[in-house]
Amino acid sequence: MTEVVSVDDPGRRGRVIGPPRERSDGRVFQVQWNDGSKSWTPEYALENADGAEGNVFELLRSKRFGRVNDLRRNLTFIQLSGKLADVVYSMDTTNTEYLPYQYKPVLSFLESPSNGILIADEVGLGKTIEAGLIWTELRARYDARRLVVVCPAMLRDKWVLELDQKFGVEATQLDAAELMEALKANKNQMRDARAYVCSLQGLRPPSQWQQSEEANGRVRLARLLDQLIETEPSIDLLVIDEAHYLRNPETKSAEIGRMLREVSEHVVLLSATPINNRDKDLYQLLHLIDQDFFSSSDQFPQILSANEPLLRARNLALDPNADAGQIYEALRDAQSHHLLAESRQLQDVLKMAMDSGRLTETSNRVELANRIDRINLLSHVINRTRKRDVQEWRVVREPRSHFVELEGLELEFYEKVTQSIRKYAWEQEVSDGFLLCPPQRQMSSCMYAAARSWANRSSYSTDEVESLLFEDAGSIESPNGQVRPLIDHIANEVLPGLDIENLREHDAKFDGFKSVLLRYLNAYPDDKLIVFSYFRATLNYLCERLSEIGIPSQVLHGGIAENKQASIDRFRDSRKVRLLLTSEVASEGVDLQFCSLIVNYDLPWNPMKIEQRIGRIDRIGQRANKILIWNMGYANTIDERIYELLLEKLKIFEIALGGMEAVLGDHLTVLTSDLMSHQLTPEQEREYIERTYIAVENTRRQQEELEAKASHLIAHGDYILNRVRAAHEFKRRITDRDLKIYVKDYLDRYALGYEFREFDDDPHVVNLRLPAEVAVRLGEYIQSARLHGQSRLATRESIRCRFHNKIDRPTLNVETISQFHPLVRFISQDLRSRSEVFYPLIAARVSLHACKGLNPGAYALVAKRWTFTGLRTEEMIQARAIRLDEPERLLDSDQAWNLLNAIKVQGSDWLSAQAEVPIEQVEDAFDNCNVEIRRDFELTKRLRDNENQDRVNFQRNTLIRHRDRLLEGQRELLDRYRTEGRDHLVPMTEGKIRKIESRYELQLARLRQQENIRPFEADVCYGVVQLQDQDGY
Amino acid sequence: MWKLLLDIIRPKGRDSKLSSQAGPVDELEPGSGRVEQPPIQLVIGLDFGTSFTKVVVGESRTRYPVPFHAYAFQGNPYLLPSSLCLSSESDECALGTEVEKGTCYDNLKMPLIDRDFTHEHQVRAAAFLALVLRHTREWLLDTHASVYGHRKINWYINVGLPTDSYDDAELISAYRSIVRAAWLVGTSRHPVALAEVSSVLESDDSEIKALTELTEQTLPADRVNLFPEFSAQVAAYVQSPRRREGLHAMVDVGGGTLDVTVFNIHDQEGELVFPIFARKVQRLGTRYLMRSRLKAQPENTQVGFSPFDDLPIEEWFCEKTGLAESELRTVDDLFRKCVEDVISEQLRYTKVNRAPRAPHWFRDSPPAPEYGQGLPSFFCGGGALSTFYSSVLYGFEEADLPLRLKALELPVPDSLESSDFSPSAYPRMNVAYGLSFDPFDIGQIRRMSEVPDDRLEATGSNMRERYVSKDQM
Repeated sequence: MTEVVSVDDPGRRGRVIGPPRERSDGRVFQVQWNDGSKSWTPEYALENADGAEGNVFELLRSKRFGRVNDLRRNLTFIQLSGKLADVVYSMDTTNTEYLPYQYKPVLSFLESPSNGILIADEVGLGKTIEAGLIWTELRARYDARRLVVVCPAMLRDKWVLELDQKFGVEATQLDAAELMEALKANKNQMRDARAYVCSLQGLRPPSQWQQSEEANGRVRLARLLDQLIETEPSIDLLVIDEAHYLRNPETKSAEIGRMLREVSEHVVLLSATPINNRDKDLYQLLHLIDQDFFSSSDQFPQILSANEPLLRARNLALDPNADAGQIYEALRDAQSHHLLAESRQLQDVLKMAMDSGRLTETSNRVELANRIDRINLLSHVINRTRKRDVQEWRVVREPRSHFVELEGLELEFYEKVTQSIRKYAWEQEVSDGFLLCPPQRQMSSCMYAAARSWANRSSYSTDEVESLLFEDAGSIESPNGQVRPLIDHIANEVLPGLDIENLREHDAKFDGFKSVLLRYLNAYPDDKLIVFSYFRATLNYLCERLSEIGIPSQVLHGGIAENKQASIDRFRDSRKVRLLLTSEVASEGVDLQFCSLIVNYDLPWNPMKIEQRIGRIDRIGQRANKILIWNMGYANTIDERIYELLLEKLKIFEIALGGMEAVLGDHLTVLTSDLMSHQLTPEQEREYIERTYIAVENTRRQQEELEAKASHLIAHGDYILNRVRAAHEFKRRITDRDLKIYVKDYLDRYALGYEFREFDDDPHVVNLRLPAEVAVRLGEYIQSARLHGQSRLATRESIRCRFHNKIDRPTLNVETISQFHPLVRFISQDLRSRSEVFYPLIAARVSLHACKGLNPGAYALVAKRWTFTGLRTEEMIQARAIRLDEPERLLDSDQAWNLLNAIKVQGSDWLSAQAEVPIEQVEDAFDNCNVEIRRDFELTKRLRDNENQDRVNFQRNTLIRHRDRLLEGQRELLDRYRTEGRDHLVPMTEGKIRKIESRYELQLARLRQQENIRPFEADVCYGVVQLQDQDGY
Repeated sequence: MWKLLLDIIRPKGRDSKLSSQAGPVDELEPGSGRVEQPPIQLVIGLDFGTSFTKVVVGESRTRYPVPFHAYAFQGNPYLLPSSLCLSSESDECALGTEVEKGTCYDNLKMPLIDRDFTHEHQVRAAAFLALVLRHTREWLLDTHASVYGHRKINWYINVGLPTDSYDDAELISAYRSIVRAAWLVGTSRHPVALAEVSSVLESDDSEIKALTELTEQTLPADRVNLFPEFSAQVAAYVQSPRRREGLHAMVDVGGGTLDVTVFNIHDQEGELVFPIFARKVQRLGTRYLMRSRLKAQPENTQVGFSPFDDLPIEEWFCEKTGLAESELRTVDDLFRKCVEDVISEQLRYTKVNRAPRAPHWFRDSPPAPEYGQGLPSFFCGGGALSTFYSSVLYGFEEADLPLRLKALELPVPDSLESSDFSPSAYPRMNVAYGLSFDPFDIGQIRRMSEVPDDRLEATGSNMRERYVSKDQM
């Protein structure tokens, strides 16, 4: 059968089927086209395919332009390969709002030589989302399957929910034993991506677990992890939330963290407070990410000191007054540091800095600064975004205090209770503030509710309150019911003869709250608010009183059976209920940004606690420009003095606190103790509080200085943010339409007889049915790739599908076809195996508004795909273009890419190109583009080569250190066994040593292979483009 | 007349337009000679409807719906009222529905359908089509001068035939004469005048023969092809990615007729064939519905309606005519019953006599996936969009077997070159679109009489896959 191409659409190939027919204008042939269609075509409109082959320039000379779909197909195919460096695969594919800074850690992570990153953003910037995006990116690029999230127990529900709703990942909560079972199963046998969410407490091994006779889940998990160290990583990504709990290397939390890290390919640590006045804290977390590079705490300051001249050089590069000599000096300084002495990238940058001519242009200076930034040893290991750096953050905090005077019975009650506590402290010689303050705080919260619960002692829940207040007082240990005797003491001393109901009738604090509340509810009839109190008794009391005046409310505290998130969802969706009365359970890990007012019905003393409460509504997603914080309290009490002298002066309500938790804890412990265990006059109380303020303020200043210094030392990261913005702006991602064209085009070509029924109301919804042969092959693919349960298309039934590049959980009725869908993966694999040649020359029309900054006219464009294979494989598409009217001026590569992408996104065929294109000019332009792309290629290759070399060196050194560390441990054991005469353990240990040696030998050999970059270049497209405004001119 | 026939030229105005568009090309391309291009085939798909005429021009790469801006029907540039205006001062004809001095004829096609046509009728139809073809050619060569201006074009004209007249030799011959006369007149430089059209039509056989020889270069006989509108509807579907083989139904509601066909789609070694199992054409189109409604209106009100108007909604009609809603319902119900009966009759007849084993209603064990899903059906023609007819038709989606239908939606094909096409406007262009394919690509119907019944005993598992037996070819 004769292979033919269409004269007018040379990208369209087909074969003649059957004999021709005669017509008055000649013979007509029936052609089965490769796009699946079949048509009778006059002989004069066909050409023999053999003769039609040729290079781009021959095709150009014979004016045989292909169509935009030829380009679309090719480009989507390349993008879906999952290796493009410039494409952010997680961008706009998850159910999250696009916020550029959230992709910064994603890109840093991809470049991290340690395969891990510490995300140290401030509270409320969405660290969970950033981790989810990293996971999505890993799935797209490396087919990652197993995610393990370790977090504080109370955050588990939130993780499961967010992974499901925002990232379409099925997540399960596991305890230690269940995680152990899950890790035992072969990762590659897993059905697609799964996430396991575990609490840190639940995984911590008991002390001496190695020797323990016990066989509980935590011990068994620890033993399994110990064994797994010698095998391939069994976790693709480990996420540790609130990682600062692992700061202390001596604890079991840190130990389980290290053990999990050993069996994980990648790691992400999340912590808002990694940087304290102790450098070591940061070091410990980095050590967890990469035990071998950050191998000793002594070495860490060296890294910081190596970075210092780099930072200087970077700032000089950006300073137009600095000359090349100064930059060069700073870089030489950096090179003298032993950690950077061998850096190929630094050597290369040194050459660039010497060229003073280049530095006269700002863009070259920025490029130099960016390249210096990349050398920074921490640039891809830590990401820290602060609210003040984020453009999207505009929320203003507006605090208001409502302190009511104590009078009559309330004043009497307050003084009696305070005296009673101090007396108890003196008699019992208790000086721990955290043991003394709960009754005091409860009284200040609500006198009636406190008295009622003390009177009815059985209903008084000490555990919850105690632990919360202990945290408030800066303690991390649990009190275990030590407050109970004090409560008994107060009840005996104060309650007899007290008219409790009178306290209810004359509740000045509630009356004050009621009046401001009613005004608010009337003024903002659509708004909801949150009232925080430490005490269940207060919350229940408020609910009761509000209900009496016809205001419905919902109570949430630890004693309520309903799941926390479900409860919050119910509140959010309720039309009737506008008040959520909640304890501290709602102050961590939940999103309440649909409210813009919080009420502190009782006041935490610890600024961190206040920050946490405010953080529920002052977070990404808050639509209001201003949020309100009301602080309720009694005038002339300790509460008011703390409010005025400490909290207000620290501007705690207006400015986000940053990471001071540990520091504040120490100060608060001392203060609470002082205030509660001494007989103090109000003046003395003031003095104590002011002293605390000064101490806190000093620490804060130091902290800020440290932070400012450290942030800079860590890395600047602007260039990463710019890459994120460029990726978004230039739509370097796969759209719904791309996917639809990609799938349809494949089916047209290779799946004759398929059903693809479209619908009027949504162009991306189709009923899809595959023909038997393709369905069977898809079924086999699903089987081999373990993608069961993700598609029903292999059943040959007609399935309603929606092309939507978002990762949704599968629904019963509609199958979402995203870049992760088995059909898309199957198609990519099949096309790869067919190694189909795409038609290289196209003619397209694009409207001007799609290409900002370009002038109308005809352009010639060349795009190539580069592949660099070294330690990792990276692909990129490089484009260059020239406007034919300005043949001397090449478009920069971003503009050219923009043009290329505009063709893909909204280009149409330029059918008259044959008549309108000046061939010779285009030929020259193609030549010039090619020359420039070759130049780009050489430069990029050199940069990649340097980076790869540095990375290989880095990994080699790390690997050797790691090997030596493991061997040393084993050899010590071996010696011990020998000296202790435990000979039966000797062969096993020797075996382990051999295993380690051979495993590392293999890895080192692999590194040697990857030492040199192997570059590859292929054509993506040559195009002539007519850029025109709406009217076609 | 000879002069006229020799006078076939490029459209008026093209030269000036071309020079302005092509100018920059010459500037850009100094001295380089144009590469010799082969001819290009363009197919005019002409859907000459009772109320509206629609045109799509097809090329291998793309298809252009032709807009008739100045003459088009309210806001939809692609709907040209089938109406011819005749000036009383001269013999010149024009498109449009209104003329200051003269007469407009809007009943151009009905007499042909009714086989009740005179020479006058033919002349008017030919004059109208001459204007349509002239406009089409000028529009294409004007707006796409740079694509086609420098190339030799081999024109084809595919015309939709009214309903079941495929066997009506007299009608086919009349149509052919009309279209060829229209092309000859339409491509001349002169205004379209009735006398000239008439003289072309009046030419006797030998003159026609002479004409044919003379015009061989431009429009040989095999370039004018007639297809039942039915085939064109199906062509659009079978060229679409959603095509499926097997039993289908088509209900076409035109201005004049209701056309119900039950047929098979089958790919016979690369050749698409549509064996027809059952078919009925009745005068139950929108105009007949309006006729029956208008008859019922109170004598003193006598409201008239333009044939180009969409069917009015019922409430409005009652208000306007003073007809009580219950009375209108009585009239409509009677009409509805007639429409339903025609459809039901064809389905029952097919089920009982023609294709009892069609998987849509034959309960096999296990049942085929199609069982109970409703027969895939095209609801087409402008009338199908009205509330009256769509309520009747979509009522069949809920009906019991074997009367259950499943409407096939027709999305706008990718190859249709137009930025302002809404999916809801497309169904009315569907026939013209189908006609814009190469004549060989529009499938062949097999007449009812040629298609034998499917025997119940001749079962086979592959019957479900591809519902057609060999002897039905």
